[in-house]
Amino acid sequence: MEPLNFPPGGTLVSVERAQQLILQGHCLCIAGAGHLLEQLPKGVWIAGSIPYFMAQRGGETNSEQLLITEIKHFLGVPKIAFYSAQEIQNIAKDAPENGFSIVIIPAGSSVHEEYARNAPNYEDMYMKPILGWVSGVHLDHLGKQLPSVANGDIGESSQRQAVVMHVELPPDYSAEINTTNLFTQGDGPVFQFPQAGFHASQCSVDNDKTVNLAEYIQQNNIDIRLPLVADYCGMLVNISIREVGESTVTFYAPVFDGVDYRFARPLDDYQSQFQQQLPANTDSIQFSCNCILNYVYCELENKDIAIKGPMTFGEIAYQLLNQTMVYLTVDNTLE
Amino acid sequence: MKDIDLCKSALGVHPPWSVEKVRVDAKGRRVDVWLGQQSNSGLLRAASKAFSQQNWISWRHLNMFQHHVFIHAHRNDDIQQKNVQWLGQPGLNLTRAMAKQVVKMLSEGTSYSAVCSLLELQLSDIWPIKRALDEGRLTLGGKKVEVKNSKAGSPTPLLHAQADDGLPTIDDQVWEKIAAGVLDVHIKPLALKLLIAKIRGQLVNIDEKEGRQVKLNEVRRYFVKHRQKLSGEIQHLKAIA
Repeated sequence: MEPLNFPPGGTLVSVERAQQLILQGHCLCIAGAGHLLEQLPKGVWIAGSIPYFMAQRGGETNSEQLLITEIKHFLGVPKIAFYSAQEIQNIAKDAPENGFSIVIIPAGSSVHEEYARNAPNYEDMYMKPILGWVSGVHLDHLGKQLPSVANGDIGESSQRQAVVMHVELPPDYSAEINTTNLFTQGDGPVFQFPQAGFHASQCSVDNDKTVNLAEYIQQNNIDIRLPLVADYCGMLVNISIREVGESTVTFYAPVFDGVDYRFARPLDDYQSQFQQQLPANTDSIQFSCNCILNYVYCELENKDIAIKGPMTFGEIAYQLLNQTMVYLTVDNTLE
Repeated sequence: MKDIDLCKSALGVHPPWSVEKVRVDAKGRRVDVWLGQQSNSGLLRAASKAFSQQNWISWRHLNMFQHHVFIHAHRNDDIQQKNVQWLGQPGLNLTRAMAKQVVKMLSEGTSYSAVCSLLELQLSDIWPIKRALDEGRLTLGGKKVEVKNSKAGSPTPLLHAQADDGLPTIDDQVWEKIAAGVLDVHIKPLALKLLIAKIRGQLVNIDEKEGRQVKLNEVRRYFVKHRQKLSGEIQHLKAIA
């Protein structure tokens, strides 16, 4: 079977074309509106619901087509399985010794919360590449529809479980996860939180005083499109703000205790800065996803970025990230 | 009576603690040992109803004569004694001795599944221990480690003891220094950055040597598994050590 000649990160196709590719036996990761996923036949694929993409025409909202990413170079048949909130702790343990695992998690589900809070402590986490994304719905349908994922192996979808594809690679191939994050820590104060969670009220500022974060944001007119940024040994990890209530701030990913956060430095032109940070050689990129908040805040609709993929409700590079592009490269180590 | 004396001797139970009751299930390869403190023991013996499960906390102890051993202590007794190895922490399901054995094996690089297999435990038995260790709540009654976080610290035998895999052994201070961020090693892989950041945060709450070595061994395991990809980092590490 000839590999598909899609751009790095995938391409938008019709439902009929997606059905053809599945029946031809291609191994696929699929993103698209939930009602389209229900029309796909059984096969070697996983999928998640989302109608926002960076695709061949640039950024677009599309509920009529599916974004297809082909998985190549694998050994044997990739293993596909649903994982409940109780089972997801086994994801890294179940992953192949040489390969990678792609996970798609429905936003707002218990498995989403479990993964966000505890993934860093799962057995074998960081030892094997694990990446993926959080599925969502059209922003106009928030609260009316539930995000879903689908398991092509058994032809079923779920709003409560994560779906995972474990892909084993031949010994001469190697997978690596990378991220592109345009945000850097600003010059403002350092915030620390007393406990991990998606919500925060009290926090310390510059290890000095305790403040209510919601009041602090309002009093200091902080632009909440800018995420809180933590420095993990040189990797910058964003925590995006979902809502600022009267006394509580809600995040798209949990903050952790013992970690220093600063609000990000503002960006001038996301599209051009993004292009500058992309890897020079994109040939080995197999899979990619970016954040819906980058799509909305940075107004990426109709703007093109070289690496394609779904614009998601959360990105996963081992752990849950926000406002970050995640991509997977697979290289032949002998070349 | 013989069972009580044997368990008292084998466990090393000493006053004010005593062995109140022993039940051996030879077919099920299980021994249950109920402990009490002398101040309460008369009361316990007198009231057989006090042996009802709700009044007792139970922990899995080290295996004995191919039997699984379960220790039960009364909630009203002083079970918070950190140096008593045949008791466990409330909320955990292994005695300190068993938890210590688990942690020791993990610190030596034994996989979770191998630990389960060798000690005849379930992963669900080990998971609360791992979580307590990650969160700095596990007390094993062991030696505390003084971590040198200064680059100008006293000389340490870095990289002298080599394991078969060509990397410094887990006893080597180099792993503490990598985790503490005091070695200026340029780390490229995203996974290793995230792993070290996690371990650094967890080590803040872990004083005991065995517990620290479990965490440091996670970093070492990464280097072992990915040593071909990390040749640059390893060379750099050797050069500055």
